[in-house]
Amino acid sequence: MEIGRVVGSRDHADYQVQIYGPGEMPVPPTALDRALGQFVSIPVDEIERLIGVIYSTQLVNPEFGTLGPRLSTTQELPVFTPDYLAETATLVGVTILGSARQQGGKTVYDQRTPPLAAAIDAPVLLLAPDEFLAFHQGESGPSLAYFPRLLARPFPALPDLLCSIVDRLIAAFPSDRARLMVVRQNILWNAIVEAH
Amino acid sequence: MATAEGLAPLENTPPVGTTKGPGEVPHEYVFISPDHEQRLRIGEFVYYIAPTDPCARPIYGRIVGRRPVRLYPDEFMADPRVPPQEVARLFGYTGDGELFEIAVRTLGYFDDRLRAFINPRISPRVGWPIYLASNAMLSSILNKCRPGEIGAVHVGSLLSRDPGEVPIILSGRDFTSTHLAIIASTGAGKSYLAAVIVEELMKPHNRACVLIVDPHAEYDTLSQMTRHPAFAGSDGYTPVVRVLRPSDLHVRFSALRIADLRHLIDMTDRMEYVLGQAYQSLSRRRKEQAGLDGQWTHEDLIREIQKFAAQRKAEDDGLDFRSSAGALEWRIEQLMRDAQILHPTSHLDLRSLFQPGQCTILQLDEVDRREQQVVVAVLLRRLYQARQETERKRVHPGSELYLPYPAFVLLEEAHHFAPAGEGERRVVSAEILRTILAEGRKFGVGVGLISQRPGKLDQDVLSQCMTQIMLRIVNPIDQTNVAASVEGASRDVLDELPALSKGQAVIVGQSVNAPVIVAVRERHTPHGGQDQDAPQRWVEYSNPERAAERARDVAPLARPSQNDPFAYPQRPQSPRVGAHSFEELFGPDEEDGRR
Repeated sequence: MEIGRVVGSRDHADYQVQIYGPGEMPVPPTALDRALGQFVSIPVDEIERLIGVIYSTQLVNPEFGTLGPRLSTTQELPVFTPDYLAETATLVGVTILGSARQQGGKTVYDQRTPPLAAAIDAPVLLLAPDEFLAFHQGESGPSLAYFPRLLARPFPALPDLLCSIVDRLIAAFPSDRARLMVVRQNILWNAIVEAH
Repeated sequence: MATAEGLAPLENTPPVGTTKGPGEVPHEYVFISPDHEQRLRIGEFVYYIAPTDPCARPIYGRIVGRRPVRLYPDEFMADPRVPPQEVARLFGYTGDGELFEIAVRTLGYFDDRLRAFINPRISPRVGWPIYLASNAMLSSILNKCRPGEIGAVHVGSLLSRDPGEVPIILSGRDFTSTHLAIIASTGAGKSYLAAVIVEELMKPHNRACVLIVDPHAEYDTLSQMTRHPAFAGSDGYTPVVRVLRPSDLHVRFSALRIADLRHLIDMTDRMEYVLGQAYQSLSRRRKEQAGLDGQWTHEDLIREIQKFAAQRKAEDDGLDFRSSAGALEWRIEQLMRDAQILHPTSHLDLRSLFQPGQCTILQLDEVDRREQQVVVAVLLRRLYQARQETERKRVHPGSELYLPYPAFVLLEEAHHFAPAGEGERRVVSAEILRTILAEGRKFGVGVGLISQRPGKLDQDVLSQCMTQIMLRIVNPIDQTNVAASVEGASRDVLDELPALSKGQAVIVGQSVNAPVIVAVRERHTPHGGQDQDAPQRWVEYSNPERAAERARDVAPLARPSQNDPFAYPQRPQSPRVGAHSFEELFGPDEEDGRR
């Protein structure tokens, strides 16, 4: 499911994505579709897709703070100035965690920073649950090779983001619960105890 | 890996690490290694080859420290069931993780001509590969002797290698002339190791002349050497083992010096004066008459004392020493009655004690400590004198003091015979021990000191032992004393002492080319110094069969007294065996009114 499009980037692995609003898609994305921790994919070309995760949400509203008089009321805006209405937007931050590449009829997942970057207006799609599992499948159990890079990012919601990923992995890899719990407890310790 | 010519290993083995740079002290360097196989233990030997050395000689060193420089974070070890490697693998890390900085003390290259290590006095350059020394290399560089050679004393194998891979062979030639010290806490295996050394000395390739002073009677199992095939020579040689009990030991009265007599007899100052005068006069006269072999009995000395007292009374000053003389006479006679070892005329023949191919064990377990000290003092004095006189060709083969071969004396509980501090002046054996340790090598008298309390052993004596074998020492005071007295023991070697297990020893000094940590080999003969298993003995005592045996043993003695109720309380018996109570036998006690 397509939830938005790339509108900008802060660096090679950090994109700003505008979530589709009402009328832009037959079925507009719900609040859950653009929630913190949702995994997404961004096609680069026919072979390669970037895989990332939503790490923040930013609401853009140019009207906020504009104290001057308006010709129309809020209710009349869609009728008289629909283009002005479109200036409000929901932006999400997506950090790239790896890539998926079509190779010999199979999809090969990689958790390293991909060398290719997405283009402006590239569509952003929700990652299906089976792809989420396939992306995290290591040689023996789950793989979180992107975690150290993610930990280096200054995201305010990072501990909760990491915990949500680990929780999903615990559900997906029950036999690896013990070592995933070690990771989860360390995230919480660093976020709660060492933060004080 | 550096590929410069000259850096190749001698035996095509991959390097174990890469030099990082100089260490904290000038003769140390450090290298970095992942040490996947956990082979770089403390005490292990490594080498590098300097590309600048045209001879490409391996420069050996001994690992003295090991410090992790890269470890998994503590957080990875939060759950004991989950290894940190597993957590690291989650994050995509599949390597081995840990890296170690290994500190090495440089020994140097081994000079075959000098049979010693020559320190290059410079650290290896950064990046030079470090190799683990092979078993064959270590066998040839650590030992001064080859197995089975004359003087070879095989005590065990290098602890850091598998048992038997690198045998450690002490040079018997060195420690039997420049002395040996075996130091350890109780139960660490001192007497076991000493017996291993004696076994080696008595093998056909050595045929040594050994005397063991055994205050705890724990070496008599060595007598099994006479029947053991390991000691049989192709020429029919088997060692002779003589175990001497206190009743077999006789020290002739005239062998005692004035200091020995002072040590054995409690005297006033006046008595000491009288004894000194009489002793000097008697010994001078006898020497003039018979030379070195001059003898006298205690009765001769008593007569001399009486004579001296009478003379002084008759002289002008008229001092009366007769009461002191009388007291001395009584004390000397008392000494001759009480002392087990003193004899008016009979004496141990030196050549019956000391023979090549013979191990003499002097069991002194039933002898009073002061008498033990006198026995050792007299024996060592005679041995030293005999060797001196024989080497200087002052005695003929028929003389009592003729001993034409070197001898080695092993002294258990050496701190009793050469105690440290104030005790040293009061113990008669200390002076001769110090003399032998300082001068004995010239005359072929070697001493092996065994002690569990190096702190109580005279430090001069200990420091004269040029081969030191240290087993586990836990007491920090004893460790400090060892550090102060043992020249070859560097701090890193001493740090090993508390960590050693039973049967493991650090050997430093002249009998090995470099300090080594050894796993002592198994004895050929059974060990006699084992502790009592008290709980086992108690359980055995309560065994019904044993109880019945004991009852049978006492029955014949108890039977005649069946009709004599007064006989029972005279024998200590358990309540079960003794059928009658005190009141049954004697009636109630009248005195305390309980009738």
